[in-house]
Amino acid sequence: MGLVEFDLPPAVSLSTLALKRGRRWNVGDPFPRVEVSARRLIPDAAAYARVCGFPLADPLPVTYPDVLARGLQLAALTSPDFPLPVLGILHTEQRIEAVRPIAATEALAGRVWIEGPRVARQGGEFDLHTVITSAGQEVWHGTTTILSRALRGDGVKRPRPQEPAWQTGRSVVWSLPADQGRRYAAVSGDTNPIHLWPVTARLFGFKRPIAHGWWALARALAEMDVDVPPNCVITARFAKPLPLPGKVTFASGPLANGAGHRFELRRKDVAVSGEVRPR
Amino acid sequence: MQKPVVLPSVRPPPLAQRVGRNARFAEADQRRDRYSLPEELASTSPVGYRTRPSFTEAEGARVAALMSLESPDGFVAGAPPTEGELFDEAALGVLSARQSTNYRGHRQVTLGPADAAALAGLLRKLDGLERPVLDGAAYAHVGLSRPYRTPFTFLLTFIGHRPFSSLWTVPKRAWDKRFHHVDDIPTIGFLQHLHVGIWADAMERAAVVASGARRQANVLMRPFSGGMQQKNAAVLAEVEALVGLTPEERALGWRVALVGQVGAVGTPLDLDEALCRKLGAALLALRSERIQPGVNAEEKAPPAYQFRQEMDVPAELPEMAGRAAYNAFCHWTGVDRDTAKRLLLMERIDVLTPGGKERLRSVRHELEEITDKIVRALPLWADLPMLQALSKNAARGKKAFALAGQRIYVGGLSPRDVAAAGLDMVHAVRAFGASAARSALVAELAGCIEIPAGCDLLAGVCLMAGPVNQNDVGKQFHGYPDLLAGAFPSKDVTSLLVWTLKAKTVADPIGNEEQLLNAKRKGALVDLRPGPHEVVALKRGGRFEPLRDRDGRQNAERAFSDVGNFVTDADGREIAGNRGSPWPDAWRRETPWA
Repeated sequence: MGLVEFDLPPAVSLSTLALKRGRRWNVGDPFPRVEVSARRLIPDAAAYARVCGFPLADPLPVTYPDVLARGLQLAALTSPDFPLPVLGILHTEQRIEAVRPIAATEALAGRVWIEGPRVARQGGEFDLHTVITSAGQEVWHGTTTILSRALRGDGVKRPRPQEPAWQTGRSVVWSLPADQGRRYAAVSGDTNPIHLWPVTARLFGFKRPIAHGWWALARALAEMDVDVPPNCVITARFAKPLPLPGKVTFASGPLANGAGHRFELRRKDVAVSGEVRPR
Repeated sequence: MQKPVVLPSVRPPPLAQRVGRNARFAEADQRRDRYSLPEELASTSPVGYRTRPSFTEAEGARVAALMSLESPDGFVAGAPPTEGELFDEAALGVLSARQSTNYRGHRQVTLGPADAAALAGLLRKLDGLERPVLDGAAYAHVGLSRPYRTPFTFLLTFIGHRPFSSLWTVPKRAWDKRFHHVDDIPTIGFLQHLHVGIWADAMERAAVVASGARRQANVLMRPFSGGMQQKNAAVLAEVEALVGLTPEERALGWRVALVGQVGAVGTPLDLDEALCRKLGAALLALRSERIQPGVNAEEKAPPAYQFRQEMDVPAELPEMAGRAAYNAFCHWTGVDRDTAKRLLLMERIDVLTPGGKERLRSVRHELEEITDKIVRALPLWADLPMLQALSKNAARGKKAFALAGQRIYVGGLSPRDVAAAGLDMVHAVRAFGASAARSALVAELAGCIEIPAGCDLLAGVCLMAGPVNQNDVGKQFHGYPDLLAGAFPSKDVTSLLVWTLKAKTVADPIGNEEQLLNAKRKGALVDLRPGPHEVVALKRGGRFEPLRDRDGRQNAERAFSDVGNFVTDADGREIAGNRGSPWPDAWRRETPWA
């Protein structure tokens, strides 16, 4: 397929996502190159900032470029060359490289491509790369690691990376309302049914809707406020879902080695965790 | 008029007795009780579970200047207040002043410089100003207050009736209370005003502490008290309009209770920013201390509560607390010191005074007797349908009268003497509240000087109205004398508060604090749960904006959290949510009226 270019990111309907069928694929075989781009991305982050708790919409919240590129991401995932179904995929890890703050008035362009797959315990993982450029310069690079159970996993439990030592600096109990998923869907365009209604979540094996991983990450970074430097590398792991409605404890604080900050969202166990380090 | 106060040091007990609360989290298979740490704090309050920071003697000497703080005589130009400073100030004032927000009966509207100037113009038209109105305030707080109404006052509706006539006297009293703001007993009516005085005194200190001593507050209370309120009705209507008080709120009894003009001062107090931060954190950590180890702890309490500690309240402590009380009374009423001493009626009733043991015993006996009479006389037609909730609640009151401490005082006023001194009784009660709070603060801060390792404090105090209210029920309905009648037989005395001072190193069980902070626990008497958006509004551009309710976010910051005085277990594990998270820096640094 190679590169597909758009002027603005395309709108991909829920039915397109639902109807996307996968085909047999061996987890050992690399995907064909799937890459889409848009010459213009038009930010409007005010509602997004409110839903995620960012105090300012300009410069753009550090997680917002992902929303800007949502259409491109869906176009890549629903591309006929991409061999896996879209519904039921799970966001497991995220890496963001924020090169510099992005002003809401900048002329932005975006590019998305997919790399993988890799074998995992419960399926196959692949990476969805999103790059945002301004005047030809890369200003933001997101790597979204996604688990697809359409591929066969090896059942091998991998050792978890050792948790770095850190000290609590912030700790807040959040109450997540039942409509949190719908509110985030409305500002992000991520209408995955597992986040929306109890009935739609149940279709995919969840007793209750679950919060978007991206929302959880954005809300955590908004809470960390000045502890997130303008130029930074953010890594996050999504270990457990956050059911809606529900309560979750957010905590963050400096790493013992002084290299940045760690954050965690906990219910009984850690559901989401990550680090923010200066770039 | 005010005398300097020194914070006396309290001698710690021998090393082996230097114990602290050391509360732990309950194990998975263990039942949580009032001695276990709460698992979490989900709250928009600025308070949180805090520990008392230790002050050096030198720091204590500087902090003590706040116990004889005079009002500013003028404001100078200064930097406009940031949102963060206004939050810190509210945290030390209306949101926590001696835990007096218990009945959600106080609210604050804060005005910017233009509205503050308009307010100053109105204030000058008022009769009974206790001090001059100042020009050039950077902002002004208008304090609103309503009558004291809680589940306890609901219970009082059913007290003191005759068996058959109660069928119409109960509804009549309920009607009068709801629509005419008539109190069941006088001391319940006074609670509102005690709290207003406590708040006024705290507001003065809050302005200093929150601004790193750059600002001070000129707080005015007298024109809004009692008879003056009626005399000033026309001007007060204009003040009410300025702060958006609606007819519906007026009907519920909300009125302007005080005004604080705040601005930069030319000669600030000798308190640096770091000391102010520490003091702010300490003020938020102070709690009523009801337990005297080895005296009134329950059997299941951990060992730290079971043994008497070889330490005592030093003689200088009540002396300095008294000095601070007279300072406050003179400050708020304008009377001279001798008159203040004559008007503030105090009786010491602890075991160290001659006959003290018997006196305490008789007070306890009398209060229990009154409780029994209350329970017996409750109208069955009301109690039975409520599954005897009224009588159970009344009986539970006995636990609230913990008259334990090394120094115990009952204090009150004589309405006749107050009138003879040319004071309005309501205003005198407010000044009494301010005096009580300031004297208690002396004891509490003295208990924070050089706290030894492993200890929570060295001294604490519990200020109680409960025994006085119970005695008042006895007075009004069962012919009992006032608690102070024996000590002042020639006066028409009304007792108002009881102080119990304690020297000890272990703070009260954390469960007592949980009652104040956990929204799911109903602390009937005190309440540190409100968030700033619930009781403070900033007036900007003609609109009233709740403090810290913005774009879907509400406050999660614990004020003065940079000091880091948060309760943990012995291993340093924190209570989830207790530490909070600072308000976004971009919003905190905003200047609302710049």
